[in-house]
Amino acid sequence: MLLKVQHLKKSFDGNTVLKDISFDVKKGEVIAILGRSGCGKSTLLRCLNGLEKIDSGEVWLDDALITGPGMSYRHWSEVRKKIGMVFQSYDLFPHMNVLSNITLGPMRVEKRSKEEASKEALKLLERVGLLEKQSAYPRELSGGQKQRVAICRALCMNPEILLFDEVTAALDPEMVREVLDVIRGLRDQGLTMLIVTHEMAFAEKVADEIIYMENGTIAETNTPERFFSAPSTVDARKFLNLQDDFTI
Amino acid sequence: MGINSILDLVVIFTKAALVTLEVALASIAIALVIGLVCAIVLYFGVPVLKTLIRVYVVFFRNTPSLIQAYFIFYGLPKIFMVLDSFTCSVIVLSLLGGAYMCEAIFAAVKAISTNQKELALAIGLSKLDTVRYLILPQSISISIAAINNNAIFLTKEVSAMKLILLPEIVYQAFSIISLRPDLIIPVALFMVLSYLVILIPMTYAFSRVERRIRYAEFGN
Repeated sequence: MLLKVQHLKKSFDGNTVLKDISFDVKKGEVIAILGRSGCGKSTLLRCLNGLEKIDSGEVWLDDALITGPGMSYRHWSEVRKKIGMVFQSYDLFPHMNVLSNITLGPMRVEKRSKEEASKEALKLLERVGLLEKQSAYPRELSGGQKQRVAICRALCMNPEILLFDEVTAALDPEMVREVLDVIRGLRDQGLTMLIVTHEMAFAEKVADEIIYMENGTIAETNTPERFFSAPSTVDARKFLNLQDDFTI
Repeated sequence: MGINSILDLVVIFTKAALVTLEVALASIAIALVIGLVCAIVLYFGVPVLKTLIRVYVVFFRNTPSLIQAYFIFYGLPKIFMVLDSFTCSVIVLSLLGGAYMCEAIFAAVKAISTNQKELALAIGLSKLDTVRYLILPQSISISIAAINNNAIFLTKEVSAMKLILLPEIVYQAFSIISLRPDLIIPVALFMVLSYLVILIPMTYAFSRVERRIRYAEFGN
């Protein structure tokens, strides 16, 4: 098991956002986390990357406890080499060109040489179709291009698992497509991914497993086929109907 | 002070302008260092230091530099040692400028989005690297206009150091006039001219630096 989450709890100022979350992620698995806004999906990802301190529970990565009761967050810099994250707000560092944005982490965190990091960065840029933008500054890129660069930046750290937090939510439809194509390519290469998304059709196609969250709990874990044809909870059924209304 | 020709005035004011320029440049450089260090400490929120810096900034921004100069020039010898007026002026203006620079730079630090700080965390960047590669370069290019303003302000503020007998432009002008009241018009002209000779090239140089830094940081 690559990632094990056990009885994770998190609250903000007495407001419980995650109530007893447990699930496992196998190596190479792609899990889509669905649910209404405010159900705790994003908070869950942020907890897994140490951006939020959890109240209780345990998270294991590669059979090593990475967060648990009373553990400090000092080792997180190490953990984050293995757990990459891409955010909704495709923020690149505005004062660095595309290549430097990608190589900063590998060079400073993993202490790799500039040549080696650049070589890998260029390979990644080629894969997402942005090789010619390597010296461009973020302000010269479209939202979709920025988000693809942000994915390269996370990939260049060679993470064992990649977390996607609604990475297409702030993009227009055409750009959504180019970003989703990149993610699909990553799945085909066998990268382990946790994807929080509102793109139902995409989740259905790309995920091995769907986790449906409701009010800070996991309401249902199912295969995409079964979840989308016959969700087991009333809430999920309502949620999917709602989605259908929108796609008409 | 025997002044027989325009040439004597030129010599006196050239020397005075050089004193002003030296004190200004030294103070600007030190003030920048103080400002940067203070802004970084505030960013990290180091417990006791943070409060000390707050007190320092409030104190130096809210008192006239000439009172600060009096305290250091006449007060320091009583508890520590006698300093010459040049050293004293540099100390006063560096501390004054440091407080202003700290405010300008820290405001820029705060302007950098929390998204970026989280991103830095997410790629595993250490706090020190975050400051070095993200916070500092961006806050300097954001605050460069304010930094330049402070530098020009400090240069003009050197004139207040005439009260601790620094032989700068205004001090020299006043000394001449007190002996030769008839020279008031040429002396006044020379005084103004000296400032313009220093400050016009300085502002021009600063605006060049400003443009270059902004270009290097953001490509525009």
